[in-house]
Amino acid sequence: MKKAQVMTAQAKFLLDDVSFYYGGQAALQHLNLEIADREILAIIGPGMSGKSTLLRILNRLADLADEGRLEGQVLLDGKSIHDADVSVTQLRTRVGIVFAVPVPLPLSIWENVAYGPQLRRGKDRGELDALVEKSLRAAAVWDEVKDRLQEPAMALSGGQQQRLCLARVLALQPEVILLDEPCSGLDPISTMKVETALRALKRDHCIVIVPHNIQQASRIGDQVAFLLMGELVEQGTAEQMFTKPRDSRTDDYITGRFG
Amino acid sequence: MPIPAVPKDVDWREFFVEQLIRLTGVSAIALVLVIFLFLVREGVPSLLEVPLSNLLGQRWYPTFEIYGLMPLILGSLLVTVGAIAISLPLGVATAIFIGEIAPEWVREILKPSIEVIAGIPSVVIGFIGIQLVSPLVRQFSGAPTGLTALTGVLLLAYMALPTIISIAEDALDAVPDSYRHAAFALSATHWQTVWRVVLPAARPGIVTAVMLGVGRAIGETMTVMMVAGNAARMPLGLDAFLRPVRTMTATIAAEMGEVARGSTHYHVLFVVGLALFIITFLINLAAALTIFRQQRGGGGRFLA
Amino acid sequence: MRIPRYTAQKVAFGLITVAAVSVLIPLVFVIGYILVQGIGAMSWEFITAMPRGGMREGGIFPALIGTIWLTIGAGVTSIPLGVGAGVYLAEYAPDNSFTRTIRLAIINLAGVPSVVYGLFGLGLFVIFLRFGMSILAGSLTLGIMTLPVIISTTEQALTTVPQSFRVVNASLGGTTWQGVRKVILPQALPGIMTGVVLGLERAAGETAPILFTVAAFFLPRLPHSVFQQTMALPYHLFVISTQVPGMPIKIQYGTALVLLVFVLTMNLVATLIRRYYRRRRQW
Repeated sequence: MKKAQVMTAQAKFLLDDVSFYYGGQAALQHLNLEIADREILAIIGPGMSGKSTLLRILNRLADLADEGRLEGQVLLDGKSIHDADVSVTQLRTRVGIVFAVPVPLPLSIWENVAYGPQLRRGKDRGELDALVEKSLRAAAVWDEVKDRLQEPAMALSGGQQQRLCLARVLALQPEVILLDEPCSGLDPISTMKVETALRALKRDHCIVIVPHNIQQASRIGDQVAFLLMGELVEQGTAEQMFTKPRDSRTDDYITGRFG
Repeated sequence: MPIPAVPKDVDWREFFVEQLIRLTGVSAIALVLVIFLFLVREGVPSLLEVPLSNLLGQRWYPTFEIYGLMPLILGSLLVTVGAIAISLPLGVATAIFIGEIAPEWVREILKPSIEVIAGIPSVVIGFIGIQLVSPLVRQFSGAPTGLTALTGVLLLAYMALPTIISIAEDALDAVPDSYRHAAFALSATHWQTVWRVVLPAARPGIVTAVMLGVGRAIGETMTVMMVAGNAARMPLGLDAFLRPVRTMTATIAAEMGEVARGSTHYHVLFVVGLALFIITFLINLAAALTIFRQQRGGGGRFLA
Repeated sequence: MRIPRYTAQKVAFGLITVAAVSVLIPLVFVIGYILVQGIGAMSWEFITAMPRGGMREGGIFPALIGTIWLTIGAGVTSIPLGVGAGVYLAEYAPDNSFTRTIRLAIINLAGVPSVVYGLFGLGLFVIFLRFGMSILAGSLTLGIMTLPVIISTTEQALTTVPQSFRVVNASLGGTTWQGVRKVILPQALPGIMTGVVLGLERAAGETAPILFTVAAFFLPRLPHSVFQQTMALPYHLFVISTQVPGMPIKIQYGTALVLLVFVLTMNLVATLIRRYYRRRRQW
């Protein structure tokens, strides 16, 4: 029996009793999670807790896993993303993802950013140019690449590549942006640039981020969720989670008693 | 690893393309079946028209309706075994040279050269065999003609070398460096390491190389047809190598042009072709399975 | 008597070096000898003129052009089907026993003797489908012989391309074919081209598959349709070196030289493609 769906006016994603199995192993167990729009939700937890899996469920990238199996419902704007009439490729343009390791395609910078929009017909060169510039600006990397748009994207530095990947996702004009440890491996300045960009982006997007350390969650998270071994232990505002956690396991993790 | 295609939301162009690609994939296996069935269809009548005792006989005189396959089978066997006897040690030695001894610049020359050897057409090798190798064989062996099994063996060995060398080289390369380092740490010389550690560890790969070399040698047609003498006699006795011999492949090539379609001779030649198909199929199957088993078991059996 | 270890090594490595060198020597000798003996026959007339005097004079143009036609025909037959099947195996085929069977079938097809392909081509194309001995039958036969090589090298080239590109394509809303078309296939193209050239190199040089399907020794005129026979270099060399008495030795070596140059040029092209794109690769 499904639990009653309590939807607030702003919930973008609703996970209803969601479990995910890789073969026989349970990566996520009976998650009930609400993700609000125009906010940054930071998902924290020790390694192998299912945080990356959770992200990949939201845009059905988890479908690519050979032995993955999902139970429960994932609702985007009230509609299940697994309905028969849902276009998966379209879903992935509404819910974009940035990976931990930047993977620029072996194309030019311009072609990387324009890749998503070009998959669908209907935009002319002028529109694409404008979209590319807008996305690169929003990702805080335009100034560094504007004179070399035709050069290979792989020639950029790590921090630039990661912001390029963010721009690539933004060019899809998504509603939701998922980020999986986007700043791991980046220097502090690049990290700061990314976080500033995210703070600006949350005004118009729903953002879900798995930070690679707790400090990042406290810096930019509006809501924080604590995942432990596939189970959602606690969810609340950043202030509440970090100062007065309700569950002792949350407290132990945040204060570093385990990690 | 493939990403499963998502059927639901695809537009018709994508669907069409995917189905087309699927079709070509399946047609590959269909092709194997078609070839096999065709050979069976044209070859099996011979089993009905010719008694088994005839087919297993030791004389091949198609004009007199005598279709003993033994001379041909033994002919193929003789030149193949002879060729492998030469190219196995030579090939493995060259692989060791390339993998363990040769400096970089030598390797850069040697490896493309091996590929060039592999690229020489068999008719050209046969031609050189007639012009150069055959007179030499006649001179040094005292045989009446230079068109002997030995000539065929020499040329065939050379043609099988590239196959054996490249696969053996891959096998040696796949042996982890940690094995070599462990041996060096135990103060083994380079040669001792190669002989006692690397070679045994690479054995499955080398066996594969030999199997594929055998397949290559058995399947060779033009070279043996041009230099091995083409006499369909039983190659027995100690001087078998110095007498002319005929292989299964050369028989097909030499006689298919002259048979009447649908005649018994025609069907028998197809049966020979069928036999070749099955033999090489089994050899390649065994080689492929050896590779698969090795990939699963890993190369660590030696140190286990 | 114990042989000291380092002496044993010197002997062993010495023998091995001798072995390796002895592999190289015949190659150099053969190519050099054909070059030297055949260069005397080389002339513009040799390559462009029709033969005269029962092949003992004149040129080998029809054989050369015949080989070119047959190679093109083999390519037309094998490239679309081969690349398609390779793409299927690398990008679409699920990981099950059926796919494994297909892969096994292709590996085995690659090892089938060329004369068996010739037999198959005779039975199916020449006789059963009534194409007769023709460029069509010969091209199809050579094409089927080349198919397994192209499938394998295509699949290999595609799987070498990093999986992460496919994941990125999917995450940006791309379908499998869109990813293949825009990123994966272009990146695999050098490897595919190398495989194609090497496969066609073999098709150009093989005699047995064309023996009963297309090859003729003497044709007074060049063929003007695919249903006609043609001369071809490998077959020509075979006949003039074994079955024509009084054939000038220079012409034999000249023919061998032309065939060798034709085939080894393809080899060189494949190697150059491989080298050039390896340097330019971004990953």
